[in-house]
Amino acid sequence: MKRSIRYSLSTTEQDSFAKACDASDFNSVEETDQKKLLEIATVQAKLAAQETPNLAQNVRYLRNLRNSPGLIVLEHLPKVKDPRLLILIVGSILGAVDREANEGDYVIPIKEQQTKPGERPSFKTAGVFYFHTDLSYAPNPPLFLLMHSVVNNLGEGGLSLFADIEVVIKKLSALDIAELQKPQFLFPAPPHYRGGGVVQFPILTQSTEDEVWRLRFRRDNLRAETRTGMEAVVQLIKAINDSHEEVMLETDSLVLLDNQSFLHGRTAFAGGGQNAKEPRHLNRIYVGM
Amino acid sequence: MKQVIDISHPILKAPSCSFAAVDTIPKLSFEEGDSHGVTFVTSRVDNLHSNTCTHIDFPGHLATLGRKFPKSIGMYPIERFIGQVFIADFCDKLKPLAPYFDKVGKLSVSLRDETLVMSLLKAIDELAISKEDLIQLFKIYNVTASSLKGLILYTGLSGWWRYEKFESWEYAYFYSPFLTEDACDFLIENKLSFVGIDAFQLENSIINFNGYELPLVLHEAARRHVAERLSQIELFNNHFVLLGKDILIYENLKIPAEIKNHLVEFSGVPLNMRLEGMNDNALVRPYVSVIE
Repeated sequence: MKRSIRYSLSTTEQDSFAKACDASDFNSVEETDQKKLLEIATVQAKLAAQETPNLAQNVRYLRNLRNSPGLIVLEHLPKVKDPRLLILIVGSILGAVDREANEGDYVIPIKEQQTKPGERPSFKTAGVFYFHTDLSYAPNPPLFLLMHSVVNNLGEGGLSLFADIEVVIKKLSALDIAELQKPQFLFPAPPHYRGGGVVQFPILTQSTEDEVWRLRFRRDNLRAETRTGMEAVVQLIKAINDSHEEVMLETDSLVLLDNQSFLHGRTAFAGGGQNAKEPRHLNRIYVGM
Repeated sequence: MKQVIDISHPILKAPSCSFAAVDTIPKLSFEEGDSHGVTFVTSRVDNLHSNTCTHIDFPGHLATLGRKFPKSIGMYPIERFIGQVFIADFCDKLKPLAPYFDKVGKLSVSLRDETLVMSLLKAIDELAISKEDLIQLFKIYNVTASSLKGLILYTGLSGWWRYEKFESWEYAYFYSPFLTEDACDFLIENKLSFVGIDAFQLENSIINFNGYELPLVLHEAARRHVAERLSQIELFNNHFVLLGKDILIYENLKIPAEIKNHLVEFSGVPLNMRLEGMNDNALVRPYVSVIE
């Protein structure tokens, strides 16, 4: 992907980061007290950023919205006592870790969980999750999204899919872009979202200030008020399919992405039904500015 | 008196038998109102898709054809949906697939077994119904193709109809016989108005895969096979060829075995919907009576 960055931690950086994550008072934090975990992470992020300046610089590069890489993959992160602390520290280096209360806590585990048959794809399911931006059904989707690969074994499916809106948009006609900019699209919330309801927005918006394209998209249950609107969505899907890339987020890697300029998705992965020894497990957090 | 046979699946407060990742449970509610001093109750159904249960596919169902055939469903003449139809039995086509499914219609091969997954994918090609297959069957039952208003394919798959959702690759109902390109051309040449099937759709079942499903992501060879087959059939799939010639497609029909290989009088008229832009699908309750 043109705009993306891959950054591999050196052994020294791994040690520094592990030290920051395995903070001395960590053991006193209750399993469920994520607010306390975030407080620790905020403090430890300052230490980690000082100890790993190159890493911090690359992470913060994502905040440069005009020339952002849009997607950063960190590789060879250390194994730590609680992986939730690791993603919260990286998130705190980037900005203010946030949560959507209707969606869940700060750190959301992405792994196969008990779901009803036919349930729409989500962080709880093991089936295909088509390209989307997170919280398209919420009034204010998060700006940044981080996913830490705690377990993801090669050959078990679970490939991540990414598509850059700057590439996708070049494959669309002016007419389709105009349709996608109309506030005619309905985004119904999935059952797990406690906020419920349906929001109505355009799929594409362009900043008048810097001409940067941003999008809100999720294919399942998406509706348009006009047929031409949905025909433009069909073209958008085709453009995404023609320009996406597959990435294996190996165990101990972490992806940071601009949730409003990069679409993400995943292939199906082996779960309980296929006797996977170590089923795929990613952790996810949101970060604002 | 001739027996009239309903060949539709009823709409219930439950998902249609499908793999679509959308919420498709119809929601029934009631409203009241009065007129001339009498109070009435009127029901409304929300969340009802035009392709729920038994339905007709019109050209507008394909995004690429919607602009070519802009007329709404109600603008089709009623004669397009009524007439003599042959119920062609092709349930034997499913025999090569039978070993891959269990007693409840679920795929029963180990997804980790590449050889088995590949043989399943290749067996899908054996579901093809060729022009020659049609001609042979018509000859046996003394049917003249050009005299038909439509053709319905009997596969026996409607026995697997459930009000449930499944993965696209895991359930027998989604693996149906389909028409080869020359069979489609044969129906076009004979000016049929429609084709129908007692299965999820009249299409090569390979299109139920897009490359991201579990049986494929576990085996690179399987992914390559599907990608290759999809590129080969892209412009020759049944929907594209038939709807491109304005031959309509009835899907999710419920055909009793007793009427297979019979000529029937068919009626399957959709509602007179003339909502602008609604040219994709129509709910329908078709019925037939056997011609003695």
